[in-house]
Amino acid sequence: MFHRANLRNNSKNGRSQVGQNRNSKKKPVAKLTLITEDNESFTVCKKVAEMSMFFKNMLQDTEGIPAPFIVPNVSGYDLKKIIEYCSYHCLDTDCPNDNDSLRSRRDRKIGHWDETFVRNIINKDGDPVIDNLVGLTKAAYFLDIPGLIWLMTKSIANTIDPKPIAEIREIFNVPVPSEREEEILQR
Amino acid sequence: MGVRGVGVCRVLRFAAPARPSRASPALGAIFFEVGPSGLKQRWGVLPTSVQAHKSGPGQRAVAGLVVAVVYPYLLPRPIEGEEAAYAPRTEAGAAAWHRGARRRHPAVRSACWPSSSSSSVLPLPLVCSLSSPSCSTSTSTDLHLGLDLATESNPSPASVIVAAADAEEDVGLLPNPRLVRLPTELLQKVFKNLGDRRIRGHRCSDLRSAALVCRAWEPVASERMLTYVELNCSMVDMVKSFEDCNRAGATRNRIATVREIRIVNWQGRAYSGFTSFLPQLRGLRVFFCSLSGGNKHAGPPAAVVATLFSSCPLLEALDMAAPTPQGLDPEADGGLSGDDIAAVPCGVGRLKSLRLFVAPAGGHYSPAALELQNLPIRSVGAPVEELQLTVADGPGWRSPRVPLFPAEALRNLKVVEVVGNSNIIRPLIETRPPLHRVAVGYELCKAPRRMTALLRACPSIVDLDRVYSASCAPGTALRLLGLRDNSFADGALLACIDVLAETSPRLEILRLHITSPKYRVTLILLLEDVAFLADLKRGYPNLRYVGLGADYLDRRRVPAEAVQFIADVKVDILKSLFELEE
Repeated sequence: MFHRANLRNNSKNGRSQVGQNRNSKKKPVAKLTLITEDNESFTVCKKVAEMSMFFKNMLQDTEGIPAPFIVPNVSGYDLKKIIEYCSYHCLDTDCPNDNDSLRSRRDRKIGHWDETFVRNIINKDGDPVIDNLVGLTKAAYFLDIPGLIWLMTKSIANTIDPKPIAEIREIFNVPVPSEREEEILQR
Repeated sequence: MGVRGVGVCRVLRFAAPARPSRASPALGAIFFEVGPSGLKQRWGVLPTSVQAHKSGPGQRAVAGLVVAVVYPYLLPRPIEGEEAAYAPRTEAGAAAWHRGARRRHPAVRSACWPSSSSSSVLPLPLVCSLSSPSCSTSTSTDLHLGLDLATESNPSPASVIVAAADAEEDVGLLPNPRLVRLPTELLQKVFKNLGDRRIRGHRCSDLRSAALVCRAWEPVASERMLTYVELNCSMVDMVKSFEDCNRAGATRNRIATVREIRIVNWQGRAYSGFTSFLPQLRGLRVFFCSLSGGNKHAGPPAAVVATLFSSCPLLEALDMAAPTPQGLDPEADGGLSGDDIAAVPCGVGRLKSLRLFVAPAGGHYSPAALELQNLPIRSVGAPVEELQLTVADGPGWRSPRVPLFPAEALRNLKVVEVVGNSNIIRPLIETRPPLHRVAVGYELCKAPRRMTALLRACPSIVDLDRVYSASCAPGTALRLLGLRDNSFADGALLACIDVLAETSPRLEILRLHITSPKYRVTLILLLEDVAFLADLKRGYPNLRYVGLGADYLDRRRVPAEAVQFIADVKVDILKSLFELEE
């Protein structure tokens, strides 16, 4: 009896696996071609692209994969980083990517992978940190990726956090205000 | 922001293809909906209509304001030789692109171009204006967004609003492009992550630093700062500082952004300026009021409480002493109209959290005053989730008789904390609310059997504080247990460990109230004093914190070997519970 049951189970499993394989052969992974404003082209899986609410809504509305898709307001560098983030997090269930879960998890801390991700943005070509952070934040905002927006705004806040006003102005290249302006601000 | 169409409407209709095909791709659109929760961005292919957000009670003033920016984001790749028209940078290129767009999109019959100053904002500057004969707040108007409707030469009322909005935006611009690039909504998100030194646990005042960096940051940071206001000054100074603050932000009513207000040290007088000022706090959610010095037992005047409820419809948490007819001001007019009184039960019925301090009634209290004092307790409604009641008791005072809470008010309770006698346990056992935390020490002390009955009736309780006996119902899911009147020095607690380990195996936090004078005087914990932790850990494998009243525990005087032992057992006793939560 034991052997028979085992065999039955195996055959069931085997069938279902074959079925799955057939299905997967039938359905090739849907891919989307994206073109940035500086004419760089990227190909991404549908699942990765759907991390962005912008693409998700668009794919739902158009009912299919459109022709090469132009992403205005996003540079090649930013899109590359966004794809890197989305590729990692599209399978990560611990990392919430919708506004409701982000709101409920206020005590959330930056994970290890995210920390390295942000550190790499900072090290890119030795450019000023804040330029890249702000650029990527804006791109994430444009493409509506709540998880990345949270990470970027948190990183910018960490850049500002323990610093005096003069240093914040230096980081953001804000000219020192005149005495009158300072007075208005103080008020 | 390249906003080009503004209208107040419920439904937007577009003259664009609803079902795009490969040959005729759709136009993309970005909508900015201005709702009660702020600016919300929506994306999508131009649908035939967009439903503006639903308006709820009290939100009618801003309901349905939709700002639309329309530009094509879904276009086929340009055919060879058409690159110049594809991403136009010049006027001529733009015109050529427009001709191409008309060929590709039959719906595009005309397009207006943004001025050169803002052309860098929109990369594909096909901007269509909403045009509406009436841009009023009429709720029934449907705005038609035809892509051929408005041009720059014939400005619609909407474009006038847009121009005003653009002008306002230009004022805030700074020479620094990095800041200009960060939209307000993102700045808000950044500042949300900054510390606020007024809140316990935050060390620095970064929000204030951010507000002083530049003029573009000031309104956003101030708005965030104003969501939480703590006042520790006289009522006259308070109202004056609020008015100054409102004058500084001329463009909007800043006081309306206040969400939480904590008045510490109120002298108890009903300053008429404050009552007339309250209606400006429309967005208030949390109101805390503590009277100064020895007057803590006296609540604010009923007139102030009534005005508070009638003018702050969103109020959901209240923390104060029960109202009195005149406060501490004997000259004030105690006469209240029936309408004023009616506002109190209505307002209390909406609250989600109520923390009330009920003082003993003195001889001068009339029956009407007592009735007023008990009115909030009688009026608690079904939305309430957190209830904290402190019934004052003092030498020579007659403890006030507190009425029973209405049964329906207990249905959704999650947190109950009562100091003193309020007879709440029996109704709780009968109602079986989804309780999470219970701290009702006095009543459970009088009848320990009720604790077992309560834990059986409400199995969701994980946090049981201020109890006087360590015997719990078997199999409870307690994670926190706070014991009072125990003395672990004489081994009484160790005797209960076996009992507790069987009843609450998941215990993580144990708070002990040390009564032994030894620990109060010497403030030293030797290795032999902390040895009991090993026994505790054996009983509760999940235990991670034992509170010994760390307020007076001087951790510098704990010997190194005791510290090492505590680290080995993995049960922290040197931090306070607050630090642990941090």
